[in-house]
Amino acid sequence: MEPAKKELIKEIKDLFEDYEEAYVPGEWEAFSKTKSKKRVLFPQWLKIAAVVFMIAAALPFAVGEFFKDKKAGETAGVKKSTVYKAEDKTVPDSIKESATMGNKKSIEVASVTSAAIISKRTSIPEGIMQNRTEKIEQFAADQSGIAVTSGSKAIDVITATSDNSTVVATEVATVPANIVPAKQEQSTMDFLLAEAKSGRTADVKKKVKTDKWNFGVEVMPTVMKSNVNVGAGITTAYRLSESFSISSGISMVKLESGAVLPQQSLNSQAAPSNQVSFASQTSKTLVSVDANISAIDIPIAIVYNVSKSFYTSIGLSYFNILRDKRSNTYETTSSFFRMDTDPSTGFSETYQAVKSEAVAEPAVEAPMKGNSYLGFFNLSVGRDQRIFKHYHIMVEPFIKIPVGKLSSEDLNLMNSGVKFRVAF
Amino acid sequence: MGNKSILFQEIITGLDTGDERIQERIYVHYWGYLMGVATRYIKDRNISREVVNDSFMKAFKTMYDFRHDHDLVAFEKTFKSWLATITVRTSLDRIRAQKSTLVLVEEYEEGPVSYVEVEDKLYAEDIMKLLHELPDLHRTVFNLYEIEGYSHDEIASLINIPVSSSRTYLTRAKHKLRELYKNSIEIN
Repeated sequence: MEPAKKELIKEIKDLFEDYEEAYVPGEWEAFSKTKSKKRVLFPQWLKIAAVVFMIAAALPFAVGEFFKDKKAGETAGVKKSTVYKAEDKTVPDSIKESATMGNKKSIEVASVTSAAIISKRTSIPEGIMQNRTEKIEQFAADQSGIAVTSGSKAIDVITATSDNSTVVATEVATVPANIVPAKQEQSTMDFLLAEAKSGRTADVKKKVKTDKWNFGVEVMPTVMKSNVNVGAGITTAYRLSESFSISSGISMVKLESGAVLPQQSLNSQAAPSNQVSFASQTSKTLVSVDANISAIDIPIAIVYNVSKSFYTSIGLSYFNILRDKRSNTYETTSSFFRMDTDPSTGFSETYQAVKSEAVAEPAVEAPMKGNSYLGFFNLSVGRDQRIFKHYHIMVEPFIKIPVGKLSSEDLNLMNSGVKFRVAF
Repeated sequence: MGNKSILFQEIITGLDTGDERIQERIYVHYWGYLMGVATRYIKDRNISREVVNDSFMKAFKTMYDFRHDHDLVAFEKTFKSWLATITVRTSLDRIRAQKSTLVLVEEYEEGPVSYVEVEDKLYAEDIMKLLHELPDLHRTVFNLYEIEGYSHDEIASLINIPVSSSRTYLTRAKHKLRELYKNSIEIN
């Protein structure tokens, strides 16, 4: 018996309901390769968390050093008196005694020790050195002679010290001779003052050296081809040298971009040749696409300080798109018949009219959402103004040029603006 | 227990335990079916393959949360239709990405043909050729309504067209298919 004939559409429906092609060997292997390529090494949240963690970890150190420096400045006077302890533990007590009691023995001990220190710190050409050694020995002997008169206890100390000075003096290396006499003529108090001074300069140097990190907050109005947007974030910078530093940060940016398309009809429904179908005819033309993108921008840049107040930077941005909302604007043109009365004749007439209106529709697709890009090439110049001792205000015009995959997107994301930053 | 039942049992166990090895079984088993779905929407086979791979990628990300009640028959149906839904949506996304918007409709005269009986056995390859002669939007509406079983309301929201347009496109697609089929029989 011949099977009952079916209507074509019903037959097509049945045919495709469970239709499947034969599996092509090798497809899984090809897919696995693509899959492993596309698999990201670290998930997005982990990368962001790592950056935040790094900044959070570095913050206490930077803030700690900041306060430590402040303390160091305040206690410089105390440090001055403790410097000598490193050189000779017997000196500070002797100084105290000499200052308060005028004990001759102690002054002598201090001067011998200072002589030893001088010979330790300086070096003399060989000819002069012998003289100097002799002089030192003589000086030590003189001192010991005086010391003997003041008491037997002091003799041991002085002899030991003078021995030291002799040994040290013979170990000296080369340094211009003209420095030495000046030092030689120094009195104990001069020496102590000089030491105190050098101690203070060491402190200042240290302070400059430790001030390597700075942190800041920034807002950045940006201008794109068709819109103005605002972003904000936190920044950090590490000073590599006097002229160079490396800066990074994390900021939230919102970019609104629009593209006006050339006029081309994307939809024209059944062009009319007869009047009846003309009545229902519509055409729809895509005129523009608007995109609203929210993203996290993590820049890294090398900053070159041109002068104390001006700097320039160059770097790249990692760009992670959190939201990609798009809407298409169409121009719809529809024709319809309209009844109207002709004022000249008084008869009703039918007119053919065309109505055109712009309609914005949200687009379903979000092609960039969730994607990450090594997205922008950043260039900027800036002015740095110091306020309130530890704060800086920076004004930094910049330009961000999309690179790599981001540059091949259908939207032009190139933007520029001005960063306003407060750093501390 | 047949081979298929064993496969589905394995898939269910794999999904429950989060076993990644089950992905290969799923891929090999469903690749042909999903290619069948994708090629109905997209003419280019290479793009269809990409669509299928993208669909698997999406499915593998979320399938471990796929809800089922361990009923093999129900699982087979729901899992298959879930994969098909992903593939349909991925295909639509791809068409949109290529054309900016899914509205390109070429013009053709509406024929008077309203009913055509099938003379011989239909072959998928032949019908696929006829389908790809339809404008993208007409073909998409036809596929979504007649084969996937979406309603006009669902189609309208899925591809951003008015409900009335969806009805019109379907009618036109059917007319055109009948006409094309008749012509192909006459030539042969």
